[in-house]
Amino acid sequence: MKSEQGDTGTAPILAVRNLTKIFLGPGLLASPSPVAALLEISLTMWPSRTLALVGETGSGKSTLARCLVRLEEATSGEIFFDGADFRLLRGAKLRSARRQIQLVFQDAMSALNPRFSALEAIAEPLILQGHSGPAMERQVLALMDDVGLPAAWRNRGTRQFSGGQRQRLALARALAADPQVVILDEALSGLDLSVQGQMINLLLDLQVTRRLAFLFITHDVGLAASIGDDLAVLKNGSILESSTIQEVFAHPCHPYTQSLMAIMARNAMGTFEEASGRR
Amino acid sequence: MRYILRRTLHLGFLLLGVSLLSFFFLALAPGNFLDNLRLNPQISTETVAALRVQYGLDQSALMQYFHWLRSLMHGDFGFSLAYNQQASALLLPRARNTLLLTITAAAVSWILSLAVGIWAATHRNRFLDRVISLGTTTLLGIPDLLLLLLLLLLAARTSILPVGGMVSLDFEAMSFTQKCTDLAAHMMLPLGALVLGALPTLVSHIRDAMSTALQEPFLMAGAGHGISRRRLVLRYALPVAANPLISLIGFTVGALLSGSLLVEMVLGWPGLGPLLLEAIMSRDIYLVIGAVMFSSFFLVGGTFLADLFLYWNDPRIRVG
Amino acid sequence: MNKMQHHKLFLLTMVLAVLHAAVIFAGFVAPYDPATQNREFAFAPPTKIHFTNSAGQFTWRPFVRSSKGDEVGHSYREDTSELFPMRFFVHGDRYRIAGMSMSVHLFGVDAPGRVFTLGTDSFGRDVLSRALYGGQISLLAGLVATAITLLIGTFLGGLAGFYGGWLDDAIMRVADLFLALPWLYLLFAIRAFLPLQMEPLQAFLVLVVVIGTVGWARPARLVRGVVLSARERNYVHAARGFGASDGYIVWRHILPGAAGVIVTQAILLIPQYVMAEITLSFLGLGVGEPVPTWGNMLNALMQMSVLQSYWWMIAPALLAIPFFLGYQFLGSLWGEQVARVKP
Repeated sequence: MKSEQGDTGTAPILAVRNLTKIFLGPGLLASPSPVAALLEISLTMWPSRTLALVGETGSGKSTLARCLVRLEEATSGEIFFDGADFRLLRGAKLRSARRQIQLVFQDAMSALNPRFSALEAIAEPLILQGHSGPAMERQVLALMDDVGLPAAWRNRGTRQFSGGQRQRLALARALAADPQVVILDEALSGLDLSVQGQMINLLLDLQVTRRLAFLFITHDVGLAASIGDDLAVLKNGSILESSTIQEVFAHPCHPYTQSLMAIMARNAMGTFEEASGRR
Repeated sequence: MRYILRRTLHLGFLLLGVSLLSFFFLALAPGNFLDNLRLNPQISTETVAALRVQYGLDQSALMQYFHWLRSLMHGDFGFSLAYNQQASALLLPRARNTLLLTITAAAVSWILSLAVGIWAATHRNRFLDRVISLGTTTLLGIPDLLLLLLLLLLAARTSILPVGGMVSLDFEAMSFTQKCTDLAAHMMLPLGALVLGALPTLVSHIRDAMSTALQEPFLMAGAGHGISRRRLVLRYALPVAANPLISLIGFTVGALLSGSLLVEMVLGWPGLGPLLLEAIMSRDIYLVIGAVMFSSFFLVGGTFLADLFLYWNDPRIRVG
Repeated sequence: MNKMQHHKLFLLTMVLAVLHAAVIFAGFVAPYDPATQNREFAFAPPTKIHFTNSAGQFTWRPFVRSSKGDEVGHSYREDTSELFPMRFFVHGDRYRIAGMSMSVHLFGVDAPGRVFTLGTDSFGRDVLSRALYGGQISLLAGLVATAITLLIGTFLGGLAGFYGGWLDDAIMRVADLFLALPWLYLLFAIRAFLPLQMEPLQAFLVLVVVIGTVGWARPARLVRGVVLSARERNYVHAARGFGASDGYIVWRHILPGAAGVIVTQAILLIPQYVMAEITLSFLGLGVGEPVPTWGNMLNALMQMSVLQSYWWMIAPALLAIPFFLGYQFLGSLWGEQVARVKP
């Protein structure tokens, strides 16, 4: 049973403080009403724990994910990772630090080069780190094994994999970079329920064996419940509440959270009980 | 209104760019225009001195450019070394001849293409339509110059049409009707060449546009109301097909202008083409630039007119 | 691609390959050296090839008769007294191929017989031989110029698409300018401001560079489009997340996508540029005597006397047309193929 936050005294692996992202309007001059996609976001992630971030479409979840991996530049705030402000890194330092925070996209197909084979796709982070040759290939096969893909498929084109298999591929590739944090941005949305279940089990196993911290972004509270240790609720760019998952479920403070709980309870009673019972 | 203004500005900038580019190459050219003038025994020293002042021939290329620009404002295109006269005196009549040929070719091509294209669209996949397609593709595949030479050979050996020149030697002595027929006869060959060159693209585009327009559901409704087929095609389908075709007008102008250059040179029509070639051969720099400017102007002007036409035809552009 | 298409493409490629081979191996296919002059045979019409002898008998081996020319007026009559059987794989004038000196020719007749398959020109030089050698120059010019254009276009278009911003704007404005000008005029204008009389090799290089640098705008636009769309793909973002540099991303992810566009452009441009060489040489602005090119050979047609009496001088055009039709057809087939495979 995982301990609650703060109990063991472990240091957070990723701490976000007052992260803000404001989009200016299109054109040379800013439109009269710029859009604040993220407003003073603060989050903390611990090693080997999953922070589930729940929000509806347009809440800013993807923007947050992109800011965390520096695909977008936040307007202000701090991202503390590995003892430094990740937001300020540049050039070679940035290039070497980035691989430690990996992002798995929702649409695996767009995230994989259609011209690549599975082997080439997974090997990419390794090649960029300077590996090559048979040793590297062995690493790739080990990764494929870890995510449950048959080694025999290594020369198949990425286009030939099914939805769930592609996500496994993307995951294997992310793991090849040997990250400490993996952000899953709606990575399981759009997969069959049974496949989702398999993927969740896979992720939980990987978390234990590789001591990974997950940021699991989803609109589905039920899904969040099955994997999350901590839960944060995002609406219109602000965090409404954030605590351990049991805490949020037992005592939702914000009315929005309460309505989320209600919807979830209506949809999947069994999952709720199982989630609070399993932990 | 703003649209028109923007397009006019664009036109101006483009022409300015062309003139700058041309003068840039002038700066690279070996040989000095001033020296060439001095060497030419037919040109008096006073003229050379006057020209030197007027066009700044002893100054840097940039200064010469400004002199030329200033002269341009007065309609003065510079001086022709080889002909010993003002460039405009040579350029204007030639430009007129090129325009005559090109505009006639454009009109004829469009009329023919519309007829053939609309017919083909309404009779898709019939035998004749396929033959036309094949002919079009083959014609497209044969490069202009080669087609021209074949035409030339044919004309020379069959002696049906006069080859070369715009009018016969005794043009002045002819009556008005005779003059017209004479001019027309001389125009036949270059006109035919240009039209044959433009036909394939035009016909296929018109055919495609009309076919698409003909599939619109509102036409079926019209047919249900008892409107005649011809009326449907001409008064209802054609305006819809017109939009993409109008942009084609601009393209036609461009293609015909490039084509006319070669046609004039090979078939001997006295337009800007042969003048340009001669000027290049004799390093008559102001003449070269003048010819290039005129052609660019026609080209860009044609596209501009097409844009105006589009603007007039499509209310969406006016509002947007 | 279905079977029918496959067959068509295969057949077409074969035909084009044969044509190209004939030109590349001009030394072998051509019966005579292109520079050899036969003053006594100036403007000789194509030699008639006979299959039946004077007795009316059919023979498998074709033969020719010798011709005698009138001193005046270049008209020739066949001399029926002698027969010169055509032989294949004969020894003739020496030529060089890939550094080796050879003397075997595809066909020929024993001296003093002559087989001028496509007649002769004003110096009595065999037109077929000159046309084949001329094809080498014209095709090479087209190929090299295309390579230059694609290099410049890919580089500038790639830069514009990848970095965007003011660089993109600047490059595209210049491209607009180049696109707005009638291509041929620009070619002439540029060529005009260079020395007129040049050694054939120099002229060739200048020609190729000029043609190549004028047409970069359209490929640049197309490559820019490809790069722009590829740049925003998630797999590019993912690669950045693994620490990829710009160079790696361009090389590994973006360029392969551009390859399709580049090949399409190549198929379009090669015939256009061959045509440009032909046009410029035709007008005397390209490669000149004594080196034969399709362009400068066709210049002979600019004289009325040639047009009326020596129709075979149009041979280079007849030789060139199958090339152009072939490339055009290849282009449309390739275009269909690309449209099919689009992701």
